[in-house]
Amino acid sequence: MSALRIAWRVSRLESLMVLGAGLVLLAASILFALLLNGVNPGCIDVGSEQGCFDRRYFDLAYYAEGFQVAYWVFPGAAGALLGVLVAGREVETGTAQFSWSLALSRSRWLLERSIATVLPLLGILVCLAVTSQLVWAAAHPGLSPEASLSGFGARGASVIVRGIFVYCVAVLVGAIIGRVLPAFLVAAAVIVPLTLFGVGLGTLGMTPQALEVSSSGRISGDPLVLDERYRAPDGALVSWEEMAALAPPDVDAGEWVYDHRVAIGISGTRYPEVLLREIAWLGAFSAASSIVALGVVRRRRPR
Amino acid sequence: MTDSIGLVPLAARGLSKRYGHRWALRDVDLGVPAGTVTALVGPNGAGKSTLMQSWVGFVRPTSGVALVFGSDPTRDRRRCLERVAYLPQHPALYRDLSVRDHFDIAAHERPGFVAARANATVEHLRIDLTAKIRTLSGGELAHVSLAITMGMTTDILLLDEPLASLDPLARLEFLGIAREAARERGLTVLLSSHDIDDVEDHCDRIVILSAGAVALNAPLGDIAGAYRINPTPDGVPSVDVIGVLPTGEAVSRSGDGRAATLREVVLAHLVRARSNSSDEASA
Repeated sequence: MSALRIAWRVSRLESLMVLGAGLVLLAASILFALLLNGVNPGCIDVGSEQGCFDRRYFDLAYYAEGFQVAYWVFPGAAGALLGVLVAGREVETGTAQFSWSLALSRSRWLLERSIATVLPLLGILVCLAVTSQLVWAAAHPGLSPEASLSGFGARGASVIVRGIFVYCVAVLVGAIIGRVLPAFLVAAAVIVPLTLFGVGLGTLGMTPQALEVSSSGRISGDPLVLDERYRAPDGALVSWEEMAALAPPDVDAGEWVYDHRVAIGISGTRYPEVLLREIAWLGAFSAASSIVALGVVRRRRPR
Repeated sequence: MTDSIGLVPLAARGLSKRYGHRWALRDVDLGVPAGTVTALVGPNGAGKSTLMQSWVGFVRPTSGVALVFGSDPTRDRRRCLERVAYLPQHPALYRDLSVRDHFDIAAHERPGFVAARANATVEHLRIDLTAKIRTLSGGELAHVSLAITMGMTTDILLLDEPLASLDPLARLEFLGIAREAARERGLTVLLSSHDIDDVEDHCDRIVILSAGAVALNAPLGDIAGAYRINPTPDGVPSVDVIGVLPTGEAVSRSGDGRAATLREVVLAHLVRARSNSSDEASA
């Protein structure tokens, strides 16, 4: 029996649960994307005002938000569930005493156990990363998923990297606490600030740009808007009050200021850069968690 | 002695372990000679499990060192573990795996694991190799754990109160297997037990641990005749008195009474350990 097969059998039930839930989400996503694409009127051209209107499309597109939530929650829940099994459950059930009294190298033991749980997780996350893009693209016709920050974190490679990050945290917390439920809750909670933080981690250190707003209120590049400023006649970016003070006496000040608004944010065209930054940050945190987990497992006393 | 203590299979030098404010082990100096079956006896909380776990690297000493053939398991885990098979007090195995799966795990983790030896142990006890662990009784579980330790190619067997869940026949079989392995393969066995009869029948030496310290470490043969039973402690120098039994009789190193049995010597040490604990608590 190979090491991988042993480890797989130890965590088979939970791995199958994650795979099952993942497959349901996967199938639902594909079905939903197909449905949405089926009623998606080709004449919807975001950016122009001439799109036709298909009631069924907008009724269905409403549910895309539900999928977005699912893609936020699933990686965290699945990562936390499988992560806590690696060391947390072994300590809680006492099997760590058996395993660690046999294992000549606990580092190797941890690695083998981790691979057996992370592989199914990785497999399903990769599939979901693809289907999340399908759903997003179907719900956002006319927008390129690679040039938009909308739905960031709940689609594409973010789904994978966030799931693996939570998994690594769960391995560490499980090793420290040695109890499944508390470790699961702590690890799963990590996804909450990550979700609330949205693209924050990916944009850390990036300089926001001034993005022109069209007269219809549209901003090119589907950006992440962080603030709003107003472009003064000399080109400077100023606040509402400063701009209002500059308004010509013969115009409606409020309207004039509004017409000169500029969005401050990260352009959607920088999606690849934001994504790479998030991958780098979460990859670094995951690696750090794994190293600390290794240290904990090597030193920990089994119960 | 100081030079040779590192060469014995199991040794402890000034070994102390504290959990919070409580000392589990206090300055333990001990050597377990090769090829012996040594009983580790003491009241609950005396530090027996902590001492055993120090030798498999599960416990990091607060001070001092535990040595396996001269190596420190906290520093050189692999070298030490290669020579030790450890059977914990409450062996927890994977409920959904079979007995054979556990042998496979052991074979994967321990190069040199002799599956045939482990198989023979469970087959002798008529335990089905394909049985899931969750279907086994406590006694069968203990035997499966013993079979795994039997399969390992090691020099030392650490058996941490493995008999608690066994009926008398199972105890006998268990100890017989361990004893035979020790004799045939020249293993050094350290058996933690509360049962004096088991100790008397199957062990060569006894170590009594009391309040985290070694109270007695001697071959069983040396104990017979070395202690006397006196009707009362009166008239016996207090330094010689080991303890007063619940019957009122005193077990001492001197006196005119009859020779004390091993059971009485052990009981006297346990009484003394309890009395010392009470004194410490009241202080």
